[in-house]
Amino acid sequence: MIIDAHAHIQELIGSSWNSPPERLISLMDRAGIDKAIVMTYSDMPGSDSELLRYVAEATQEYPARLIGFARLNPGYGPLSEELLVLAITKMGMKGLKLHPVGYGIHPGNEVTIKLIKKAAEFNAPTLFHCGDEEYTLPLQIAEAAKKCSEATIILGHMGGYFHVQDAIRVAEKYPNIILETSAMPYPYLIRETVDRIGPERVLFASDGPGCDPLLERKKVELANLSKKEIELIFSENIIKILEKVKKY
Amino acid sequence: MVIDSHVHVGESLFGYKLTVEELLSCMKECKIDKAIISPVKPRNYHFEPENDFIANCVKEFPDKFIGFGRIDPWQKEKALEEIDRCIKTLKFKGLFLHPWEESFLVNGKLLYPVMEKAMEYNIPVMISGGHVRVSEPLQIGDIAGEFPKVNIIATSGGQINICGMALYDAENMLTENKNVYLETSGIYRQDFIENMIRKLGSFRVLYGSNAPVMDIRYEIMRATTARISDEEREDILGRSISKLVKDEE
Repeated sequence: MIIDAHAHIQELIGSSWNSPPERLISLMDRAGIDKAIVMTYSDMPGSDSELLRYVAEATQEYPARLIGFARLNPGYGPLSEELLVLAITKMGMKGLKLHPVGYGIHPGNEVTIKLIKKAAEFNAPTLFHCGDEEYTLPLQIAEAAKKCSEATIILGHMGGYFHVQDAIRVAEKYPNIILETSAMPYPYLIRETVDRIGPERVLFASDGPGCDPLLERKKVELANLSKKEIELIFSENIIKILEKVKKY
Repeated sequence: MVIDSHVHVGESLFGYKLTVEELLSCMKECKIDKAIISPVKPRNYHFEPENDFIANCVKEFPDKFIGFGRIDPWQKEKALEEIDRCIKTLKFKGLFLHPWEESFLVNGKLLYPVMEKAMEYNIPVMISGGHVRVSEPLQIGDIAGEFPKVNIIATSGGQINICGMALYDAENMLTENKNVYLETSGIYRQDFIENMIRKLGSFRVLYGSNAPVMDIRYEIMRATTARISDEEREDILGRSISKLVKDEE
């Protein structure tokens, strides 16, 4: 069983980012990936009020393949919280996705903390884009992990190209931080991460369909992991996280 | 013929290292016939002995390696003399520049005499691309526009940005500057490589691993698993770089 902990769907006709669910699913089939957690590229609330519904409909159409996360802009305060509750209680979603580059608010800011805490009330994890840009740096997201010790915080891309050491550092410091492998190009750093924080807090993900799930899978397989570590990283860890999310 | 267009041999000041034996064994494992090799930045900061070392590797394995020389433009006159030596004496086929490790602006005036030399010798210049402040896509485009007769190999397509925010600039830079070639190491994202092959033509895209910073076994899969035609794959795996360094015989 392989579960991809971070992938995207969204209609963006005419752009290379255009990602209808079928584009992702055909790449998942090619890569031998059973399920993927999917989210949009754009935030809610925003220019397209249908985005949450889009994810919900895709997960209803492909229940065996897709699991939805709500991508939100925490800046709308109570409205953002309302959308999160709606997504989890009425639309079958299992987590929150935050990409601070899109909305320009620091991960440690009060409105972000409130939204993460709201997700944690449902035991729903928060997946952050965590790369090399301001507001997405591991040490910045660590502030949120510290303030919301009850929340599960996933660092998507585990620090990107240049901040992986910081990502491992903050995971060593805060037990509620989980690292996710997508698009980070160094197989040996996955091995180093497992050595330093253990295999239970590492998740396989692709960031597909732009990044190819097949290539992303091969990368993890090149990291010199044991059979047990592979099983944990490819599915068991994320299954455990998702099982805790309150069901509706 | 499979050619890795970007490998460094030696022990870097920054901790990464690769020996000739390790490289040859990895090339065998990955079915790579040839590699373009260039120096690392050594602990003593001097590139001349490293260029000699690369030349010796090529001399020892002429059917396996093609040499590129590395210089530090901050050495000014000495750097230009070293380029002469690299081409005339060491018979290198191109230059490698690392704006991040050598701390220079790729489109600054400092580099102009180096680019003039490259033009004089008609050799390609490989630039470690995508480093913030020194080799961003538009900065590479700027120097490429100033020297349209110099072929530039932009490693990582000139963009290392896991957010995807440099993709727009990199695509425009590559479209506007026909003398810039996209090398595939570490690239975000795989569909960028596939789209650029369609848009620029496969002869403008080169497989390179940037070993030992990156992992050859993984990097070559960007080319071998890309959803492109067999013809296009042959181009990016060897024919494109072969033409560029005139290694076709």
